[in-house]
Amino acid sequence: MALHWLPIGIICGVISGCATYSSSFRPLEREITANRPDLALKLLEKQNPSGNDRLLYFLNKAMLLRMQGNYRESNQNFELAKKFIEEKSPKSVTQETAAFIINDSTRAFVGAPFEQVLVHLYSALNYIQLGEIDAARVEAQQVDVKLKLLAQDDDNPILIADPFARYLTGIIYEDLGEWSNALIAYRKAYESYKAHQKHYPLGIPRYLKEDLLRLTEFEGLRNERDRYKKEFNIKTWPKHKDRKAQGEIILIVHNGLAPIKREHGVGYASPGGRLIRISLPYYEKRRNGFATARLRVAEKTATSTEVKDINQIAERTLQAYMPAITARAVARIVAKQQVADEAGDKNPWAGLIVNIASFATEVADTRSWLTLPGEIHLARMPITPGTYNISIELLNHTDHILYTREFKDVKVKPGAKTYLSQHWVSPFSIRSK
Amino acid sequence: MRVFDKNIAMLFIGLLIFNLSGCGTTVSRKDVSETIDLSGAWNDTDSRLVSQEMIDDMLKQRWLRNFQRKNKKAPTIIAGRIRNLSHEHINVGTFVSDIERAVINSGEASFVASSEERGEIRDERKDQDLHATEATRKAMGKELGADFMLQGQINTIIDAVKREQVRYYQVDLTLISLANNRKVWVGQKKIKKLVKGSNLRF
Repeated sequence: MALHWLPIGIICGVISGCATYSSSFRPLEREITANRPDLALKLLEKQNPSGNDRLLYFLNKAMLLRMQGNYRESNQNFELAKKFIEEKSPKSVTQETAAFIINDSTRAFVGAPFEQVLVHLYSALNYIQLGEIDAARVEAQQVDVKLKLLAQDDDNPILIADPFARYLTGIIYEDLGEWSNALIAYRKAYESYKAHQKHYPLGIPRYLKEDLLRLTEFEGLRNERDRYKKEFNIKTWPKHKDRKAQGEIILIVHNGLAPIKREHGVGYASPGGRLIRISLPYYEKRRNGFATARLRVAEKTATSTEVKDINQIAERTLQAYMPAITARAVARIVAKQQVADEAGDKNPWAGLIVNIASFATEVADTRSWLTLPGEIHLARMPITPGTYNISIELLNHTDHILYTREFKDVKVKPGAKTYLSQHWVSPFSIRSK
Repeated sequence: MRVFDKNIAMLFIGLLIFNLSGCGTTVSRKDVSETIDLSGAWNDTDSRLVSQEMIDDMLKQRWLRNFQRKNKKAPTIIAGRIRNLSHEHINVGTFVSDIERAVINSGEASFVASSEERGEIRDERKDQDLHATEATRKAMGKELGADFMLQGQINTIIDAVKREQVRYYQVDLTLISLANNRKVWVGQKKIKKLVKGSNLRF
């Protein structure tokens, strides 16, 4: 019966596409670590993946454009990414079937919850750099809805706590003079950092503590201020009433690259002589670039604090999904073996070919947003309005300067915020194989 | 049916659906007044209907008759800032254009160029000063000063459960007298939409 050859044909047809996603990223990685995002973008545009991997194209393109300071086009790609996530989030009957028969990579990649939140966060940061704070506020609102929806899907605190998104929302509201909204966002950020702390080593940023003290005092909420004072053990902080006459510099530094998923595959022969392979993904950490960033303006300095630990979140997210991924892989092996056995009953050669095809198509889903940084750091500095030459220094654990950058003639206006952004990828962030 | 045959059938159907998904794009022309809701987001119909209804209400109120009686002329309005405080990247520019169109077409009031538009016109006037003939040259200092400024904001409240959302839009517009900062008219328009998304797709 000719139909018996159909699955063999289909499976053989997809073998050609069985290299893992993360291995195709290596040439781009090299350009990024050599500080050539423009060349990395050209390589990405050549790859131009379609279909299920389209989201990765939008996300990586948006980040590479951002690295080049092309914030407008970067946001156009983030909008396309949001649309893709919206359209492809409902489970597809055909893709789920294919995932059961072939491998997990046949499903449309819509990103892990933390990646979906980061789309809005980076879009907001782009609008901030463009000076469009109202548009950044729109993203802040969207983050709020996103976090609520994610919490409805899965209330696992490992997957949904996103304190920095809340903190940035507070900064945006504050920039627009919406003090009450800012305080609400800072409170949510504080609660979220506390929930986050139960599962991750990241502490509560000291700038957030000062912001809470400053705004509760300004709003006349003495009891709340005193409670924070006691909890944080802070005696002095910059006063809000001085802010109208002062300006503020906010530095956001993106450190290195997020970890990369690799495949761990084990193949062996079953007692019946069939080849069996199980492939599961794991995260490989990239070497972090710097330990802290220092902001230097005239005689003043401010040291950064880590506000988002993407390295940790990515790893813990995968750990949370691992039982389901493993269960699917095992179920797939059983199903593939059954198909091979039944093909083999009719024709031993057909059984062998189906078995080889099943073995070859069993690859781990290593898709993730690879142009993200491993960490995000933040520093805030209130300063007298004026025009400054600002330098940022990136330091390692022994306070040795790894990188410096000068921002010339930066204008700081009274009552306004000036944002500086830097994504630094160390030339040594990729492990040599 | 044996398991093997079932698997074949499943694979065959899967393959067929994959192939069907690549069918071509079709385009059909629609009348601009036709309401087409795709994603549930703020769209051209919302912008047109809200601006029309709000301006109709604004021009029906007493402030207009009072102004006309006192000054014996139609008031001149300028568009101030209309802030987008919603969850969506709404194109405020098209909304302002819709408002301007509704005011001008009513014939009850006139609209003057906004501060951004004025820059280009003034540049042109300066250019005319150098290059245009005496007869066609437009003199400076003859601009029409506005009597009122229209300001506003677009707000949203979103209540979402899984793939179902209630989107509540509220547009507030305020007309303020430039002579004495008095608010002469405050208008409000609300829209509520229920957006249901599918939990499954092919």
